[in-house]
Amino acid sequence: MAQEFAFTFPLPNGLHARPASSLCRAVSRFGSGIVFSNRRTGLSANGRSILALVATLTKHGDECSLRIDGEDEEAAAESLRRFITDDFPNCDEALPARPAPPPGGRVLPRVLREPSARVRAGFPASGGIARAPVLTVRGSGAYPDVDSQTKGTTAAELAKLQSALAVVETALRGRMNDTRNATQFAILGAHLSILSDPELRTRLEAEVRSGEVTAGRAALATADHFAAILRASESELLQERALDLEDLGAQIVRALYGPPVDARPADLREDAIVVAGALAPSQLIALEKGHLRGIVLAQGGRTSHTVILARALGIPCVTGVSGIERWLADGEDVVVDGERGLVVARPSPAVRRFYELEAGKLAAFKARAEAFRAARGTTKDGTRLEVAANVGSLAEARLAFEAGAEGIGLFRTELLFMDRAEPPSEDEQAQIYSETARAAAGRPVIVRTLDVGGDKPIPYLDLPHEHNPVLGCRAVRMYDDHPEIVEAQIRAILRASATGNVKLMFPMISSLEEIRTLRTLVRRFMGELASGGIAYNPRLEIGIMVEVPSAALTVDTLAREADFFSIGSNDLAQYVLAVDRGNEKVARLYNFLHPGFLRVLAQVTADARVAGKWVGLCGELGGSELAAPLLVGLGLDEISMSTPSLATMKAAVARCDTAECRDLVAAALASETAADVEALLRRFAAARHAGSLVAPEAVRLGSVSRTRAEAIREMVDLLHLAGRVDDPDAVEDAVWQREEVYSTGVGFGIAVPHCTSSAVLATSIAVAQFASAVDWDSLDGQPVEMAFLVAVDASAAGEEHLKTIAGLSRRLMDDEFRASLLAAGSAAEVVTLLRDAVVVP
Amino acid sequence: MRIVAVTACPTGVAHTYMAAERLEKAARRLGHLIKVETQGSMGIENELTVEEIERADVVIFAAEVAVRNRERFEGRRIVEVGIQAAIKDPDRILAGLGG
Repeated sequence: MAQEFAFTFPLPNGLHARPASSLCRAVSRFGSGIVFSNRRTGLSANGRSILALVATLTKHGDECSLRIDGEDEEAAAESLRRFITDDFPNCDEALPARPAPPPGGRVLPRVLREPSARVRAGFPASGGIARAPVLTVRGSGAYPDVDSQTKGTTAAELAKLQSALAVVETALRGRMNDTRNATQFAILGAHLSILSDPELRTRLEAEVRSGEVTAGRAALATADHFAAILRASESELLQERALDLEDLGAQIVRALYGPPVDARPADLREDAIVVAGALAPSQLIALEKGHLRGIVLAQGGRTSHTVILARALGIPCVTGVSGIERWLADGEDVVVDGERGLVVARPSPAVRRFYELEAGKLAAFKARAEAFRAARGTTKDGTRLEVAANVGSLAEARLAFEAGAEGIGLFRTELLFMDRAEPPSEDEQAQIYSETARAAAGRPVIVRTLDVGGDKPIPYLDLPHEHNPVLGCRAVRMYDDHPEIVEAQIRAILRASATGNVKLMFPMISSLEEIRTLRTLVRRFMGELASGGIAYNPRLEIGIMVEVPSAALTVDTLAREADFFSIGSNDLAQYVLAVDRGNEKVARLYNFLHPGFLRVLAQVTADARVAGKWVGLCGELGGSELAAPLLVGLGLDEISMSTPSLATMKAAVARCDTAECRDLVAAALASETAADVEALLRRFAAARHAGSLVAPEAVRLGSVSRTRAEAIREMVDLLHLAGRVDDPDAVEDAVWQREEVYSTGVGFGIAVPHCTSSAVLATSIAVAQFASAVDWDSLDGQPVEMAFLVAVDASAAGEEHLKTIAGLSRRLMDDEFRASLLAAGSAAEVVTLLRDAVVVP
Repeated sequence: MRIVAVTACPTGVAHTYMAAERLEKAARRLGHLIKVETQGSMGIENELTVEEIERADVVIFAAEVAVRNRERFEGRRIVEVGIQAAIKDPDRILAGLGG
């Protein structure tokens, strides 16, 4: 007589893998057959199979039952009933807090906050905006080539499968023993229990026994089968388990056929957004033939070579969006917002319109910077500041020169050594460096020798796995172990120095001995080249990266051996601030504007100047528009940045006055906090607008905005383009917060949306006159013909401007004044009318 | 009639001044004596004196936020209206004052 009892499913997150495995454990203590049923979904499962249990798609509150049939059914029923009431409700914890969508606490644009918007947030790795259909690409290292395997007899395939399963199991147990990370331990444990799941085993063997497929195909098909079930679930938690199954499938296949072949994606024939777990730089290069519009990666931080390459090629890229390959389907319409680090699937017409306007705005910014492309990097008062590019390949260098680079401030050579079986030869390198020097046509090319360590795996170097790679055997510290590689690279750079303006730079120097040893080595190679009759530049400049604090503090003595210095601001900041910014828990402490870090920079530049050596800066700080006045004030001779920043930074430098910038640096060094420095920089940037409240470029006549939302966004964007607002999303949000109190449509066909926000650089008015009147939910119910958006700077709250705005508000109540504004034929006329009305400055 | 009024709105950037303007204009057109104090982003302006409040026949508060220094008006006849109403139809507010 079978036993059966019913219960209401108690767990808030449904029956996912973790509770399923504890139910499984409870069930397996008994010999009876035990079936779990869900009345709502109508699905049943063998109580011993985690996968089958999970596949019942059970949610909190579902009516469920357990049916027990067998020898020990009474004891089992008794025990399981107690288990379900007492223990089961405690075997899961609350759903992990969902990551906050806006990265860095930024406000999402309003249109993306609609409940229907499908938005995922990641890291904005490469700027720009793109929209195209999705193409998923299997990242590197996924599968060996399964399809080309020949099938043996069914018995042989079964045997292969069993031994592969055993290999994977042993490997999982081994890794569980090795790991000290609790999360990793739990994941490995989950993989192990899935691997021994009876339903999985049955299905695997049935596939092979069908006699039609190889063991590898069977493994992939089985993994796909269960992954599809999980993916169909409504629970995000269950959907994520699908990845585990795919991972396990790949592990079995690797155990069967060895390591993966290089996954070469097919050529893109149409515009696409490529979506992948991870993407090797070589894959990106293979894909980029003009149709690669954007990239979304589940992994990939902010400084991987793929990301650096995407940035150099100007391809929008968002990284760190976990599970993105499952969230997006091939062919699905998607927007990649590389400015904010967002991915928007199936955008609504309003979202599409928003992004068209955003793309238009970016293009306008670009067009304006374009005027500076061919310009020399100089300040307003004529101080020279060379604006150069950071590159990792010859192709990137060519792009940089087209974009106006005045030199290559940093040629990272690591990329040449990655994704290959052996290091590039001296000849190969000499050719690449020489070609770059020729492309530079006399402009300097600073080649930095290899900077790799335990965190960047290069198989043939056999680098040790280190506990703390950034403080370990990286860059010049590993040169002693690889003399042949160092020799080939330095000789190649020397040979290239005969063909153009090449300079040699060593990374991670921390002491005078290191640079002395390396100089001796260079002299030896020079001697060998000379005796071999091979040309090189005997006066080749040899410089060092300043990225280790001990080097930063001894520039005066290092200057005896170094011909120039280049500050590696990313690494130097990491070491000075003791922050790994890849670590989310401490990333917020990583700030280039920390007064302590700025003091180090000031000492480096001052000491280099006293020593008569030139000093540059490569790293992200070099491309920061807000920080440009600091870079000028510090007295750098060169700044080097990623290619898309070149023109913007030339424009930013051209706005600077050297004396003002020196005062700014003095004030920054004396500041108490990074936030103070940032406020200082923002005030400095706003100063150029100080004299005016309304400018012709912030007036749009004949606006085609159709809705209040569009109109507000348009006016905020006008202020953004005019450089008066630096976070348009935050300003838009502030305007709407006010708008939601009650409409600013005051009647008479006008609206006065307004806000006070710290994202406003300079208090300003934007004006839009609409081609067809816009509904504003106005006091008098009439649509709006003209809107005046007032954005007030929260920090300064300039009294004069507020007075003007008050006066203007009063004047807008005057029929004749409004009539004259509506009749204005040009933006300039609107500005004049507003100015004359209340003596607007 | 002698009227004193206070206008105030949430951000104090625009509506405070628009309402003041509308009330002043309408009152003058209708032959009333009016003084409007604005409580906005620039603080209190055109501040009402004790004497002006004493002599007024009626006090209008056109405010979306609490009126500052409200105790000055204790014992006076106060008509409270929304700031939007003051902008939309000040004539109607004035007509509703009677007297």
